[in-house]
Amino acid sequence: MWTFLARRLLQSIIVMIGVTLISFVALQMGGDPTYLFVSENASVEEIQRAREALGFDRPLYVQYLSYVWNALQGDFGNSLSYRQPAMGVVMEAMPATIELTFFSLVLAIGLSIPLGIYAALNRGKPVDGGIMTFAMIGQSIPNFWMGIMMILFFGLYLRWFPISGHVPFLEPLFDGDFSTAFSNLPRSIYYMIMPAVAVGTYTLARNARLVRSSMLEVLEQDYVRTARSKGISEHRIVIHHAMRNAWLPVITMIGLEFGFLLGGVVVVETVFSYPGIGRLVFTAINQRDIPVVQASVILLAGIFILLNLMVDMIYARLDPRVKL
Amino acid sequence: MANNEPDPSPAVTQATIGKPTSYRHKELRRAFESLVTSRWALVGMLILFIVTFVAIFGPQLAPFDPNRQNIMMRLLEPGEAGAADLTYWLGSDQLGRDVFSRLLYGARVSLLVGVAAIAVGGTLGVIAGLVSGYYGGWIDDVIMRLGDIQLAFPFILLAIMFLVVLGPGLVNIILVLGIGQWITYARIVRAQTLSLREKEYVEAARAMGDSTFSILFRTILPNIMAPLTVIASFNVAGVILSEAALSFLGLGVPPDVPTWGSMLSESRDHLLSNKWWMALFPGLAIVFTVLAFNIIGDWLRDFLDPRLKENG
Repeated sequence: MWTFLARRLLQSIIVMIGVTLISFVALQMGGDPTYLFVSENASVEEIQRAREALGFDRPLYVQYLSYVWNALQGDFGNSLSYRQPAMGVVMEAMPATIELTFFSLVLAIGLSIPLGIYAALNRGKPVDGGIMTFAMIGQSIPNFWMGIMMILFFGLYLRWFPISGHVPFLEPLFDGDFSTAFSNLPRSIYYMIMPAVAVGTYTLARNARLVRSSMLEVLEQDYVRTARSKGISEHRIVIHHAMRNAWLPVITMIGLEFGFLLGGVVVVETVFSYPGIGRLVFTAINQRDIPVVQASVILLAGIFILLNLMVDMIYARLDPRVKL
Repeated sequence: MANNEPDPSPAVTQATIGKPTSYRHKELRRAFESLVTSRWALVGMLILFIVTFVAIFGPQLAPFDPNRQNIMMRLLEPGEAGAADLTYWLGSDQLGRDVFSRLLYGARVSLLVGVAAIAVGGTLGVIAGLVSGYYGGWIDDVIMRLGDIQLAFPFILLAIMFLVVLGPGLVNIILVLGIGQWITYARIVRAQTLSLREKEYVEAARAMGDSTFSILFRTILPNIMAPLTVIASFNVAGVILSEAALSFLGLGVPPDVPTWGSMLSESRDHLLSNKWWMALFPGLAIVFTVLAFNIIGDWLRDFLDPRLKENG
């Protein structure tokens, strides 16, 4: 177990180094990065001063090492528009994004499992066809467009849900103010429903298909046939025999899905003016606030890598066939 | 985003290995028959045909210049007649440009980016996969670890990071989206090459003194095209979605080129005044195009390897 953990941890560290390398290269690709940090009408002297201040006059490997060193300490320089450390700005927006991503994950996975199982148990029947058609269409809808359509229909026409805004839950929770956090929770969910559905539909659709095919495969296995021949009820077979095994590919997917959801959240937040990292990145893109973009991307990638590490560990615990 | 590809089994390729021409003809006929009997696949093909037709003949079909602004004709509802008896079938936008004409032109960018990015990613991935699988050893290790690193990023974030620095533009977006896909192809090609390199006909080619280049591209590659076609079809769908998302964020092609994503981006400012047509039509165009590629990908996979069939 410990060797497995150590190996996965080492892999994650290598990947994280790769991530910093890629983001460093990205920064260099547009030519002298100094120009990204100064205003368009800066004089030659001002540009030179900025170049020295930012350290872009040093050899590349020195720049990279200091970039990594600073990144390790969460220092990505000052945000160009907020005039304060970029990482601080990103961290402020982080809880809202985690709330939304987590909520859409719960929604997507929570619905995709019963849908997929139901479709598998009714293989070839109209209800199976219906669920799979829904899944096929769900995989083809851009999440941000879905958000726009929901705003138009459920927000502006039916007036069922708020079209923007956010009620914080994690923030008071982190501050230790439990009563505010939990009294906020229902409204927090109410505000998150539309963005979460927009973000989660793709994942819901894809996982419903995955659960279905994984379930179909398991239902054909010998141990399920044996269970059937022993006269065990179909209900018990599904819950105790089939689902336990059908879970495994789904759990691996959850880790990966979190990353896709984070990506989706980045786009969908801008549609709902949701005050998370996505909207922050969007504003930063428009203001060419490179430190904020870099800090956001690295932080999100870091979370993604960490989550996948955790998923692998859970997977290894759940499936005794995985050698630890 | 674009990772809804199934993992094709090596068996996919076995069906087509070293078969005579008459067999290929039969296969083509089987493909055609399977296509016309599958309602879904037929719908997918039909949509794809329409989108391709529109992408090619858009300029001839469009009633208006997609960039012509007309302040007098701002935000007209669908079906309203404009000046000179020209009807704005799908309404006009905030600058008085015809939504329908922009939609027709937008098909070009979506298809072009989709196909070109796959060409870039596919080429890189195939070369990397062939080299990785054929040579093995440290080359294989380096290539595959590079892929792992790339996959550790949520893809859209990677694309955002590069496009922010490189700036928007058609070539940049094709390159970024293309390079984002290489590892998908590399992994599959590598796995297939690993199993094929021990086959007798590859041995034979080697014994006959064929160059490595010839073995890789003339002997191995044609035999792994089947799973690649399936992946490419799903991949085009994913890339079109990513392009739309990036254009929506303002990182796509320059503003004077109409794209479905940028049309949606512009529609955001007019949601509150309920100018629904600005958002509805470009979105539907994306959904139908992506749906077509997904359907065709599904059909191709079922056709090439019935064992993977999902729809029971």
